[in-house]
Amino acid sequence: MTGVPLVRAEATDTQIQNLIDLAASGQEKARQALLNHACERLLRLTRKMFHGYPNLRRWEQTDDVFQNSMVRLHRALADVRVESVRHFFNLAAVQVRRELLDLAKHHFGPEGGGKHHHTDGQPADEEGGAVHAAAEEPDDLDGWTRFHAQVEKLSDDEQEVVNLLFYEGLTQEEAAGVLGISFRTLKRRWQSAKLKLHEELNRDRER
Amino acid sequence: MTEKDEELLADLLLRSEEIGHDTPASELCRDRPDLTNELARRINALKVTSWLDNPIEVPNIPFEPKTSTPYEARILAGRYRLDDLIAEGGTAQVWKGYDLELQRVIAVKVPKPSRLGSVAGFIAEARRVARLKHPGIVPIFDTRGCAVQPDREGAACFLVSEYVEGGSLADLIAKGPILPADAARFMAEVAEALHYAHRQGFVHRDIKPANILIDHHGRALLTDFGIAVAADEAPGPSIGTLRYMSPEQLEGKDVDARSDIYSLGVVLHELLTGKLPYSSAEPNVLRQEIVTGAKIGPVGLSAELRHICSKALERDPAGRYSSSAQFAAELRRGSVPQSRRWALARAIVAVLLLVGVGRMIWWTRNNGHVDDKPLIKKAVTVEEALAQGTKNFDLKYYDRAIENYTQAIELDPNNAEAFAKRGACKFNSGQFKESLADFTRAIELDPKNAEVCTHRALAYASLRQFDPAIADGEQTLKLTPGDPEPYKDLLARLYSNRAADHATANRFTEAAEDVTQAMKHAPKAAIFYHQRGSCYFNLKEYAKAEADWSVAIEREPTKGAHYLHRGYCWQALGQDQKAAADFEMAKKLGEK
Repeated sequence: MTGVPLVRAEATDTQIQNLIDLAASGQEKARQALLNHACERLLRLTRKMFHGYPNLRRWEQTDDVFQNSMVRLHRALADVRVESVRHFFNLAAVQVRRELLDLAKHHFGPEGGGKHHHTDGQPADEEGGAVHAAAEEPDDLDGWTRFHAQVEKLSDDEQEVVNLLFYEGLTQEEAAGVLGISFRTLKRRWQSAKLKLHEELNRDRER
Repeated sequence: MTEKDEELLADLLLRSEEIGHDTPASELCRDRPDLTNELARRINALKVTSWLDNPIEVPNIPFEPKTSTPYEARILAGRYRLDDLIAEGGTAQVWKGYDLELQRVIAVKVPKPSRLGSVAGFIAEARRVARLKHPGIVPIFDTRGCAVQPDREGAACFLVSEYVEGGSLADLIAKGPILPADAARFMAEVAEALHYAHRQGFVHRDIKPANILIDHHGRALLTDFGIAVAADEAPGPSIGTLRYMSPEQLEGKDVDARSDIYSLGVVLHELLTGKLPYSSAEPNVLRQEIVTGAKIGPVGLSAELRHICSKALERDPAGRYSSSAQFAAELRRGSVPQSRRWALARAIVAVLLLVGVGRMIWWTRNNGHVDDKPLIKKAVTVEEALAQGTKNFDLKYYDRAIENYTQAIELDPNNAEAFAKRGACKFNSGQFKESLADFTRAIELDPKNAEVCTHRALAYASLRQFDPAIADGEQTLKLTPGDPEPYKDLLARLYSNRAADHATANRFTEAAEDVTQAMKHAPKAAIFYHQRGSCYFNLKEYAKAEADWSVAIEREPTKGAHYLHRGYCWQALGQDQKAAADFEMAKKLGEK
């Protein structure tokens, strides 16, 4: 089974490695490319998160929250000195997750209209989200909010693996390289992270 | 559970993943049946969370207009941010975007995956189109294929080009009527750009107002060669916008530059009349109308524009303009007749002024002696009266001179000199009509006097009666076989002036004939070549016009106007490079 491919249209694996090497040696252009990569991941995950709400714009007339989110991400990452690729990716993933949580909160929190605003014409269940088995892929903002929050609670090792594989979209091989661990160790950490997420999300559900 | 058991379970899970999660836990736990339930639970948990291993699939929604919200905005190739959907056609979307690297606004065209033949084909074609460099063609900056599947990314490939602030001709049409002069200029500009593309072997195939952009300076730019294919390639499926398609394109026949010219004609028709030549809402009927060429009749247009429109819209490609440069040249001529004719009129004015100057010089040259006091004493004899008249004339006391000559005539009613000189005095004091009778009487009395003949010619010319003026000029030449140069010069100018009158009345053939006569009498003058060039240009005899202006340039190589006009000829003849060179030269010499 292969991992999540690094989604970067213009770069091959070798180029990514070059990029990583260059960024580590302080090359500005390479850092920009990594930053763009983080932005793209944010865009991708945002779209996925809001997928169930095609008419979101109905609630969001004033402000392009997403653009703001991207600007913030840029700002957060722009001044970071790339000490190591691992450092950068982790930081980027944390920022991405934070922005996603913010976005979700904005639309689903106390001020958000989304909670009582089912757009597809189907009645919302009592929890505001669609009826859904826990730990399955979330299909609403509430589910995503819980997912991102649970990732934050994982151990550092596990969280780092989720950051690289899920938030940053690296392949398992790339992630193992970035972390400087064996492929097998990476796989085990990944499995462990998934089992914990499964457990915690189920527990959330039961509450 | 012991640490050792945890380790074992982790190993078993990895093994389960390697051989596939369908293997029952009991089989994997053959040696430790007590762990079977826990392993089964964990295998199930990994199955439930397996979505975390999948690529993030984002539904292909941003390319449906109703869901093109800012939330689906994204960045292509890590560099091009899509901001606003500005146009959407059957085959592609066009976004206003931003190049994050070069930090500039761009336009991004994203073909719809369902309408895309192949990514490689698209990119190869985009690269060919990117070779087109012309001020009237929107430049392409970049094209890429996306290394991800179309169903994941939505975009399989894209094209980045300059973003033209302003809008399309379609937007302009929607706003209201367009002045014929503007319409003609827009279309001439587009045709010139298209001519360039045609010469590079391209056929656009989708000329329509939406593909013609008008920038803030009001310049028309051609865009979207998206479906253009090199003309020498096998014809692909003809895709275009039905209403603007040529009959042969609709019939699936081979198309060439003339198909684009037809489409230009449709747009021109629409701009000039506000209507399409064929406008049935029913595609089948529309197709039929176009293919059969049932009716074409733009009304309410000038004869020139109607002719241009009809010729471009000929059912048979052979009946159309053979190049879009020709179409452009006719449009430029047809739409700016005033300025072009004004240029000709200006040349005529210049000639007339020369006639006036010539008159003054002649008279003083022929009358040498100088005295500063007018003669007022009453003459007793004809000779005395004539002498007093001459003296007053030299001092420009024309009214007194007229009195002297009148006295001479009273003394000798058949004195030809008295009539001739009184006529000259009247002429020089601006009484042209009055001078005619005196000159005529003088000629009757002395028919062999070339000078009087010349003076009457000038009098007629001043009254813009060029037919009798030329007759007198010709007569003068007959009377002076010895030294005819000054008379030849005058005659040439008379013909030139009559030519100007013909031209003003749109009789360019007669005008050209008269200028040819003028050249016969003054073969060294450059101005007549310039003038005849204008006539030929108006007669659409561009090759002849070009030849004339070439002579004019040879003789007056520093006169910018000659280059400018020859440039127009080259343009009409489809010789763009030569035209450009001449325009450049004209500009250098200060001619716009």
